[in-house]
Amino acid sequence: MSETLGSKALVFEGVCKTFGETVALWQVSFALGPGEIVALTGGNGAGKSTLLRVAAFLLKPTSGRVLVFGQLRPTPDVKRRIGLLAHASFLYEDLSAEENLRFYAALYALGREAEERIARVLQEVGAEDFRHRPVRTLSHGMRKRVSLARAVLSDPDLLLLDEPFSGLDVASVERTRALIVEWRRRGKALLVTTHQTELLEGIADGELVLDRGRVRSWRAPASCRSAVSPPVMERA
Amino acid sequence: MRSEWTFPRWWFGLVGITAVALVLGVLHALWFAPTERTMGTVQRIFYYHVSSAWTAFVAFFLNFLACIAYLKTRRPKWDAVAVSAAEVGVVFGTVNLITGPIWAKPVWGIWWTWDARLTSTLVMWLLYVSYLLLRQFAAEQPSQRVWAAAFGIFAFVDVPIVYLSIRLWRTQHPGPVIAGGEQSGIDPRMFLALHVCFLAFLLLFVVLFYWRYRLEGQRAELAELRARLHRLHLERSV
Amino acid sequence: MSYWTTAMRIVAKDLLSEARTREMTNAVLFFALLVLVLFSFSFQPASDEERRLASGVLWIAFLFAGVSVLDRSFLRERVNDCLDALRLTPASASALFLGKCVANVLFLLLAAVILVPLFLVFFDLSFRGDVGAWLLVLGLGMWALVVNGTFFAAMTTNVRSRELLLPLLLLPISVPALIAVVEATAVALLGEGAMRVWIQVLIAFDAIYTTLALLLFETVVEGT
Repeated sequence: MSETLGSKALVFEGVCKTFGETVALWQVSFALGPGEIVALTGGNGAGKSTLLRVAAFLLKPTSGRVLVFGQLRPTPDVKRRIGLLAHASFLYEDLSAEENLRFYAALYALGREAEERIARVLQEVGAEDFRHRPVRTLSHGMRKRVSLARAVLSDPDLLLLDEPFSGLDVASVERTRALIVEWRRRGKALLVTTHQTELLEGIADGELVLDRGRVRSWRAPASCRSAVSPPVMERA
Repeated sequence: MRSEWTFPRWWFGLVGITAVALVLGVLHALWFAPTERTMGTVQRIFYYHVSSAWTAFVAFFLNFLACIAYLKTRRPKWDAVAVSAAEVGVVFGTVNLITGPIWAKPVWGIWWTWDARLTSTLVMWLLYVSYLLLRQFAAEQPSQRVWAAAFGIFAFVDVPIVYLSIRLWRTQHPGPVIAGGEQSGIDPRMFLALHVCFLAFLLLFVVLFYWRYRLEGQRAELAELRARLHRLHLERSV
Repeated sequence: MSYWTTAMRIVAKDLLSEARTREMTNAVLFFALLVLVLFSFSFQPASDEERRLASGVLWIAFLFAGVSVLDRSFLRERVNDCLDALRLTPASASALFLGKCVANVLFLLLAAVILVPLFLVFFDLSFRGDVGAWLLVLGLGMWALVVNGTFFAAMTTNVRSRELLLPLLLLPISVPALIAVVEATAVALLGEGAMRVWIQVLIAFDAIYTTLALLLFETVVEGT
């Protein structure tokens, strides 16, 4: 089991996360391999955002293990391979999209290829037209695109997307779906949250459904079929 | 997880010894020690004034060690030691700050003067009150213990620097000295009285500290039980 | 990317952000100016004793300015959760901290450029002593406030009553530095007395707390 786990992009083994009395995640286990998309669904308060934050090493699990590319600790190399799109935009309001990306490019140590990558991701997400405008002047949809650009800036192998479709119009939703498929084609592993399950229909290789922090159902993607099986809740 | 919270046997012994020591302290301070030549009877408060300052310092030193231990090991018991030491230390610090003016007014005619030692203990007291306020305001945050431990380290490192800088300031701007503990040629009976009082206060500190530390343990156990109950409740409702 | 370059990147970002809005400089300057004006109602220093008092007034104004700068510095990171984004990057946390400190000191020094001349004008004072040495004191004193202030501001960024808690934590810790800068400023204004000992106190204070802050920063902003 361990050699299969090592090749996975993201593995959760019995992860629990509690905040004092509140249980955000309880005994969550699943795995995600490169070139796969797992849809993470569940109602409000199910723990989807918490799960993504734990996967990004922003939170430490109360118990259980999280492995990203076989690593338990967030070393700089591992961090470079993780991209997170959260509810918050992670953007500085007074700077332009371009300036924001340049700043993050420096922190991700992209060096000489920074400008090229910035241009490429802006084009990919369709944010070129407003790259010079301060973020505070951008609409919700535009900001989401810039945030997405920020998430893929370092060309991460693991993409964690929290509600990438929320608040977007039909055309933007389509564009985002196309991007997700394209990134999978390039070999990235994607964990995508949404409560609009129909948007990932036909795209997702696997699905993890959470209910109040517990795994309600888990359909593993092809590579992970035999690897991990979490305790699944039984409805009374 | 303890199923009972009765005090251990040795604690009652300690309380007894402390009571005896406190009585001894009173006897020495108010009776055995001679009356000071110039200041008269009111000088006797000096034994409590200085003892409480030293005890507070010991308490804060314990807090410092516990903060370091907590940051290294992250074991909650060190955090419990830290907060208990700080709280009891602030109590002794308060005693020190109150007895200072009580002594100063009849003897020197002024309630307060920014004399080096008194001012340093005031700043030290402020530091640890701030420490306790930080804990209170950040109480719901999971990182609260880490932050408190960091501040506890910052605070204790400051104590000697504060003292030195105030001393320096005072040498440049001399003023009346109140808490003059270093009187050369102190009468041996006064010396004895001071140290008996200090010992009594130290024992009292240990008693209060342990009591408070136990309270932390009880709180932690209560929180753990509540969390368990909550989780069981959730499991049931599924 | 080297440690120092990372820090400078943060400085550049903060300066750029501030240049766009000038929100912080306006608020800070106004606040500090208000303090100076209000104090000038209560006294006009004529005697040496009063010159010494004026030194204290200047540093109260700087304290107000400093706390404002620190507050806003992290407000910018809090909006849109940028602090989390910074934690996601492979950049070292202490480099980010250093960058924030440098940016904050620059903002304070900028405020000083305006406040000090105004102070001299309002109170009809001049530096009779060694101005060069005093400028060193100014820099060291501001670093002392900023290094601890940035540390505590980062720590308490999500705590309630943060605006109250920050000065409560910062001021007692800064007492030695405050004594040193007020005394040294008085020496510079009066043109007599020793500044050297206070410079030494400040250097020691800055060295100790910068080391301590760099050591512990990662620990206090780590996720739970």
